[in-house]
Amino acid sequence: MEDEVHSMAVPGQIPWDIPTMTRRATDAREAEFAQLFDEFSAPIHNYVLRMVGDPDRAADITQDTFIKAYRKLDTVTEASSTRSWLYRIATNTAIDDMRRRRMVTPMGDDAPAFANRPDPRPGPEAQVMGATLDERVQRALMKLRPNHRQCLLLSDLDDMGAQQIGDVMGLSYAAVRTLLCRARGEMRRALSAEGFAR
Amino acid sequence: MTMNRHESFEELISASLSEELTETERQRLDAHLASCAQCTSTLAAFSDQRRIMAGVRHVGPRGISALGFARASSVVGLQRCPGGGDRPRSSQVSAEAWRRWPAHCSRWCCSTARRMNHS
Repeated sequence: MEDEVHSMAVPGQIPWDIPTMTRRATDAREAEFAQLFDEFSAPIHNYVLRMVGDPDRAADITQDTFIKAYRKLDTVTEASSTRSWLYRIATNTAIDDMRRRRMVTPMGDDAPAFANRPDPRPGPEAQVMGATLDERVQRALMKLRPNHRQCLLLSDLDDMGAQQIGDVMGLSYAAVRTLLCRARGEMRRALSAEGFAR
Repeated sequence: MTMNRHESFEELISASLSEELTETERQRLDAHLASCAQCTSTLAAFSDQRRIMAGVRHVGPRGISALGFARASSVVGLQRCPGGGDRPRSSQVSAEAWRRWPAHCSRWCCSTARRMNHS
């Protein structure tokens, strides 16, 4: 095989053999992935953490997201769609995780389970006064339906427009606008319960 | 299910926060807001909400514990994980190791993916 490659070499050009070309392709792929990871690991992790509300699960989901991304790296055709593509993988991985947990936890949907679970901590007023703004916002987020939470996070945390949110969630532009409006209404009530005015 | 009058404007209010209204929609909304206290209140509440969301703490990959990688590496039988060394706990991973994490992760994911593809 190597002989064939060398015989095809054109004078003046580097006669690369197959192993060298393969190694270079692998190096390029790894460099591309490292760049992707460098740019997106922080926002993806933050998004997933806000989605599931648990640091260990967020770490696992982020890790799974990037393993899947590496395996599917060849399917990205346009650099402009990379962000949506990664967030779509992260969203689906987070949804799978939530579904798996729902199957093993006989408490129904994620949000009601969180909302109805007996809370051993001090009463609501003491909690509101004692919790940081961040904790209160996270508690409010966890009360939302998962698709409302995703939509709101993509919009207000990751600053995506309706078109890009649609790409991530597999929804039309119009459907995203309706969903986002409902999510804001639900979040308004949840924030109000956490002591935020209005 | 049909929308009531205010609900249809709430959708415009929501879209206005990310500046995604057409000129016609903007004019319609402005005209309505001039005479509707309920929707004006909704606009204020949604704007506050967006400001609150923008102010939440961003937790980057430093928050990703090496534990997660250790778990995964034990699943696929890897001896080393991205923090360097043999399956370190989160507290054992230095800040410098985390700064090198992308390169580590890249190599780790490459080898993991190869293993998965061959299995």
